[in-house]
Amino acid sequence: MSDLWLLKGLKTGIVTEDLKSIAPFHQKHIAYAVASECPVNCISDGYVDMKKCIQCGICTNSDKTVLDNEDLFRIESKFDKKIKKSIFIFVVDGGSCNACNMEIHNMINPVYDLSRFGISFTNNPKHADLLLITGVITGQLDPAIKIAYESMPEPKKVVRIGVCSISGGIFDKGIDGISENCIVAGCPPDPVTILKAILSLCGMV
Amino acid sequence: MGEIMRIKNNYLLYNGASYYLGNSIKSFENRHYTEKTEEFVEKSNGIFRFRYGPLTGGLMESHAWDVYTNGERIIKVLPVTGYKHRMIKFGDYVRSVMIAERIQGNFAVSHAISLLNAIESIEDIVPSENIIKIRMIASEMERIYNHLFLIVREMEAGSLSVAQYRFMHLYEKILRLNGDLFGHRFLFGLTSVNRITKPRLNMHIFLKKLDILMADFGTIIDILYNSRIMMDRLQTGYLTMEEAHNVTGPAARGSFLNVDDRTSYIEKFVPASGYIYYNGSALSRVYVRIIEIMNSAKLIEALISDEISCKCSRMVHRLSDNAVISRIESPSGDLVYAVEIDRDAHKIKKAAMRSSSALNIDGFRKSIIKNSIFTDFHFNFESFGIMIGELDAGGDLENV
Ligand code: SF4
Ligand code: SF4
Repeated sequence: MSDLWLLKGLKTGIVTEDLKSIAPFHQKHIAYAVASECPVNCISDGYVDMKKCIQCGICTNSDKTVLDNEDLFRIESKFDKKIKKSIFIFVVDGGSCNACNMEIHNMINPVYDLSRFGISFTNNPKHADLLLITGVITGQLDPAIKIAYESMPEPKKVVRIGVCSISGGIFDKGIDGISENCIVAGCPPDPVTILKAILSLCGMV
Repeated sequence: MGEIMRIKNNYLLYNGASYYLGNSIKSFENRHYTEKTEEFVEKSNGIFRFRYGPLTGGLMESHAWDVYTNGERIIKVLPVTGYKHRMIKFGDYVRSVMIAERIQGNFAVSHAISLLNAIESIEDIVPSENIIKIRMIASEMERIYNHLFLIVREMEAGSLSVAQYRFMHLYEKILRLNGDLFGHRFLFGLTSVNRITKPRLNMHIFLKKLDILMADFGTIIDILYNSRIMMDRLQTGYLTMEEAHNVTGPAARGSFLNVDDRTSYIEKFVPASGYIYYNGSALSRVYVRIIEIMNSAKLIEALISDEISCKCSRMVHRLSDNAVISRIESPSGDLVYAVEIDRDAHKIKKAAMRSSSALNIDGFRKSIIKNSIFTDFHFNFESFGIMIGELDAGGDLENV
């Protein structure tokens, strides 16, 4: 059995990709659009506010791709010092559609291989350095998220993943009162963008 | 019952009438609603209750369970819902479809098509064959990646890491193929009223890429079938045919039940009886998914080579001039939308939704109490394909 896996592995070769060589997925289909057609009013003067864009596709059928959105993620404050130990992530779903959760989970995919950077997930916020929040933050989950945040040791950082957790996207967003250190736009953001944001937040790139 | 449109215990209550929704198009009937009695939970010596969730690494989505145990053995599990209630408010058609896609992002196509079938049938819109074809291809792609993801979760729960990473690699390739073809990895924005996104790849190039991935899938499956560890670990969570009578999708087919909404219009390519497999365990639900992945790829090939007629044949039950029930086979089974529209405003006036997860959660609860211990929880839960976003949607779709 294990021989078969080994042979298959040798035949397939290394599947892990260099992060620099993977283009962020959603960059390629943001295009010029008529502002009034955008369901979340995120276009003004030909500029797309990535904190709101739900990637609905309405403006992407145009051939006139004019926008180069550098703003796929934004760091508000990095860790003071470069972290030398392994980094642990605790993920909370604050009322998501699950696509953001699946893209976060996908970072362990051998294609992205989160562990090569010394980063892994933890099931316990008491061990976590980073809190990743997805979803609109429902009233029922807000207290649980606060407890998770408060039980994390210092220094700790908060990353909002996806437009739901940043602006609510197409839904109404709840308020959790936790200030974020990094936001990753997209609906959902792809694993490479999330990974690059985390590496940048931790001073690893 | 007056003006309400609500779903309760698998019945649609609408304007004073009640309709039993069943687990597939075959079992729908106009039947009098009967109230379910509250569950009694035994509180005796030795029975210990603990709350599992809502935030825990073991569960992908936020939800909780009250787990009753006696020693190691699980006696009962009760779902605690309400955590993921979002302010879901339908409005005009375009926006409503976008919201439907985001009720359960990984079932975006199924939710969008089910809602669209309802809207289009009330508005007497007959989409072209090309639109139907693209929708069918997308929903099979959705089935493939979701089934792959659940197999990944099963391998993860069983610590079968090599197999897990092999499947994950394929899963990523399928998501990328979705993106290359339709511009979104999870197929958001694919379709709206009488409209689809134009594919960005030539269909034959797409088919070639899919073939390569399926060949790879075949080799991995051949190796996996030899794994005694997998066989042993997943032989849990048995559900007999009788117990599965109200379960839907692959979970029902894994317990010998011949239900698949797709057979009502493409019987030749969806041999429901061919899926019925094995012994009703978590393993048989995984087997069903493996076979369905291969069949979905064949179905896509048949669609692209025009072997299947794409004439409009939606599964709807008309309730009134302005209201219908629409159903579709989502990756986890029968998904039902009931919709009433405001014709003049082109808006959704009332809506209700019964997800496949709402049925499968009952199957899970029945199967987990059969000699299961807590370590069986995840194998079993993932094998039913229960999605919390659609189960616990809230807002307009809140079930009473
Ligand atoms: S893709 Fe984004 S910017 Fe374009 S219309 Fe949709 S939400 Fe607006
Ligand atoms: S941002 Fe988009 S993908 Fe992420 S949870 Fe919200 S709706 Fe889903």
